[in-house]
Amino acid sequence: MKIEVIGPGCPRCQQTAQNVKDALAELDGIDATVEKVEEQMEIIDRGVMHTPAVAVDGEIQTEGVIPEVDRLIEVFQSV
Amino acid sequence: MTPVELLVQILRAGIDETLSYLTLHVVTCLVPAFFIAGGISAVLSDHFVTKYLSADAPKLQAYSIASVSGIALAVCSCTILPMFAGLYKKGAGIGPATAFLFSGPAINVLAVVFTASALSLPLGGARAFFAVTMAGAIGLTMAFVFGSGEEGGSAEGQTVVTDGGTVRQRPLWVTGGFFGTQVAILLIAATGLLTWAVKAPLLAPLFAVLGYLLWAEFDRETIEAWLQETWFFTRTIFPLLIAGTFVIGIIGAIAAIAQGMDPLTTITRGGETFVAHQVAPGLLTQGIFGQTTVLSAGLGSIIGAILYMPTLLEVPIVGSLFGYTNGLMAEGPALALLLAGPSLSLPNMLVIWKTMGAKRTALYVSLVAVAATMAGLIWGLLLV
Repeated sequence: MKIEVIGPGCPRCQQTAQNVKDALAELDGIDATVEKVEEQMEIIDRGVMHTPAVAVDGEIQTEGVIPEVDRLIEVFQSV
Repeated sequence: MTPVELLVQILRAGIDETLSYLTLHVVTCLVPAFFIAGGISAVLSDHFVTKYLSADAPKLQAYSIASVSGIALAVCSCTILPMFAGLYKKGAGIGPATAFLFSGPAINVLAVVFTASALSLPLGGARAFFAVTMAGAIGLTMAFVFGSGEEGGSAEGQTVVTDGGTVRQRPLWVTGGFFGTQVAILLIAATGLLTWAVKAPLLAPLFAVLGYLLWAEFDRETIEAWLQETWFFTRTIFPLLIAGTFVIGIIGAIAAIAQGMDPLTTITRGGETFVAHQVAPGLLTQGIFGQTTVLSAGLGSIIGAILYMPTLLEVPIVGSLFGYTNGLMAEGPALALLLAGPSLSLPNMLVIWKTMGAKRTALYVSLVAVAATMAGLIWGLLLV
C-alpha cells in the first residue's frame, strides 16, 4: 500500500512521518511505501484543509492532528 | 571613491539597516510573539474553522468568524491557502472563504506585533481593524456577485475522517492562562512607558504562572511540540527578514549614491537628522507617497498586490524603503500597502486562480486593491 504524509514540512508533519515509520516498524513485514506530499498546490488538490494529513492509497485517513502510533497501526491494518 | 570603497559602503548600509530592525525594542516584542505563534499551532486545534464555517453555518456567524479567525491561526500563507480552498469547495462558500483569505495573513499575531513595534502602534491597530472590516466587505461582494450556492462542491467533497484518535482536551482556563500570560508578557515587555526596573517585578509572576501551568497541566510532548513550532517559525521567517532588510539597506545605499549622497553620512532635514541610506529611496518616492491621496493610496495597494513579500518583510518595506519611519510616506499609502501586501502576491494568485477560476480571481484581486485603497484613504484623511 502507498502511504502519503501530506503537509508543508512543518515539525508536526515531521512528527507524523516519524509516527508512520514507527507504526510500520511495529507491523513488521507489511508491504508499504511512504511518500511526503509537500507541494502546496498538491496539498490543496488533495482537498486537505488541515495539515498534517495521512493518506493510504489516496484516501485521507487522518487530518489536522499528529496521529498516534497505535491509531496508525489500526488504520494500516484495516486498509 | 574607489569601487571597493563604494562596495564596502553599500554593504555597511545593508548591515546598518538590518541592525536597525533588530533593536532591543523590536526583539523584545518579536520573541514573545514567536512563542505565541508556536503555541497557537501546537496547542490550539484549527478545526474550529471547519466547525463554524461549514456549508450550513448561519451567514452572520460565517462572515464574522471568517474575518477574525486569522488571529488564532498560524502565520504563513501555507496554512491559509489550503483552508481557503477547503472553505470554498466544501465549507461556507465563496464569501466567507475570500473574507478569510484577505484577513488571515494581515491579522496574525506576528504581523500585528511587528507593525506596531517597528512602525507605530496606531498603524498596527489600524492594520488589524481594517483587515477585519474590509474582509467582511470583500466577502459579501464576492458572494453577491457570484452567488453562494454555485458549483456544487459536495460532489468533490472527499469524506474525511477528522478525528485522528484522541484529541486531548484541555480545560479552558489552562488554554486561556497559557495564552493570557504570554500576551501579558508581550505587552509588558513591549511597552515603552515602563523601565526595566518596573517591568522585571511585573514579569516575574507572569513567568511563574506560565511555568506552573506548563509543569502542572501540560505533558512533555505538548511542551516539546510548542518549542519546536516556535523554533520552526523563527527558522523560516527570521532569515528571510534579515536578508530582506539587508537588501533594503543596499537599495538605500544605491539610491543615496544615485542622488549624490554618501550612504553613511548623516543629513539634516527639517530639524531632524537621518542617515542618508535610510532616507534616500524615500526621498525619491516622497513626491508620490508623501501625502494621502487617491493616487498614492491606490498605487500603494497595487504595489502591495503585485510585489511578493516574505512574511513580515512588508514592515521594513513600508518603514525604510518608502520611508514611513522618517515621515516620507503618509499614513494612507502605508496602510494600503500593508493591507494589500501579504494578502496578495503572484504565487498565491495562482493558487486562488486554480481554485476559483479566472473571473472570480479577477474580481477578488480588484476588490483587494479597492478595499486597501479605501482603507488607506479613510485612515489617512479622516482618522489620523
